[in-house]
Amino acid sequence: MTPGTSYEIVISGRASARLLRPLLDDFTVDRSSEGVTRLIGPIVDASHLQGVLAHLTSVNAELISIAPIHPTTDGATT
Amino acid sequence: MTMVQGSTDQYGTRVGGDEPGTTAAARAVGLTKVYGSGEAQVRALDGVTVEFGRGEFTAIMGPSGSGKSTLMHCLAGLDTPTSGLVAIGGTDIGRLGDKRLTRLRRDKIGFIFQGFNLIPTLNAIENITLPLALAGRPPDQAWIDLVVQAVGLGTRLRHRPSELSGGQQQRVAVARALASRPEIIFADEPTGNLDSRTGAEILEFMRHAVTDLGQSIVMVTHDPVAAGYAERIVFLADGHVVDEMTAPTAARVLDRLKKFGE
Repeated sequence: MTPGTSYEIVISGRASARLLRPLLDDFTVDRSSEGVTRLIGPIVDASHLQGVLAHLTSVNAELISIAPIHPTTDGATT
Repeated sequence: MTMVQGSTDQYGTRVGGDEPGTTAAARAVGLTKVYGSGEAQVRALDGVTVEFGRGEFTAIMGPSGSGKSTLMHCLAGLDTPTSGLVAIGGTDIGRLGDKRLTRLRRDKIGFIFQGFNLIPTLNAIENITLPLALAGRPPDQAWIDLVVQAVGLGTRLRHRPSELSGGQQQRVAVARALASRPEIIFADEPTGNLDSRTGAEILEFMRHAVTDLGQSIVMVTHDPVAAGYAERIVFLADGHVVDEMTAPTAARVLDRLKKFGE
């Protein structure tokens, strides 16, 4: 895990802000794709990741994927 | 529908008496969900009123885009309706604060997902009891023993998910959903990743959980064979409840689904 790397966490369904509240300081939420919610933000270390996963587990979110988002040369992310 | 104001519990406002056997495990009243705005607006649910009884195995079916997944996500407190009421047991979940909603979803609702959603670093029994650990609740050992026995994993309880077949993993997931003895269990295409024989075993076990263990299950599926295991089917189309069927068989379900295409 590279410090400061942004990650995309995808969960099933359009999760409301009410369930994601503890994560909203760190992650932006994208519900534009049908049937999933994308959380995008930095994960600083393994403890941070465990904390994020613990919250998603505690609200019974269905985790689809977690992947790093690599910065491109023009500063955008892919 | 008559609303009877009851007492307030740890989760918030009652919307009806909740003595066992008198209140639905879950219900929606006038449920509407609208996504987007302007020309891109989609009315995924349009005034859906439906009840799911305690101790019943109900399937939700409908064509792609009918609103069946949206209905399940709103019932389970994942998504927030645009308008209307959702109650789990006697609790109006729309009136809960964020923390109480999180707690209700964790403690009162069980989930079975198509992709199992087990924690890879935990063994089977640890996965089964994880919801209780997260809730800080001691397990009801007699109940856990009953569920574990019923799920039939035998000596594999100390195995991690990667050491289990797909069917065994889904058995763990079903046992996990049952572990906290929830008010209701939502299953989203629970046999979608399984071959037909293994899927049938899982569906038999889910039916056993309802008939013999007194649980309440709502299952979203597109599979007529899977729906044939339920006691009742609610059909959705274009965001509306358009039909119901009791004592379904796969053949009757298939006939009904064909009418959606006419």
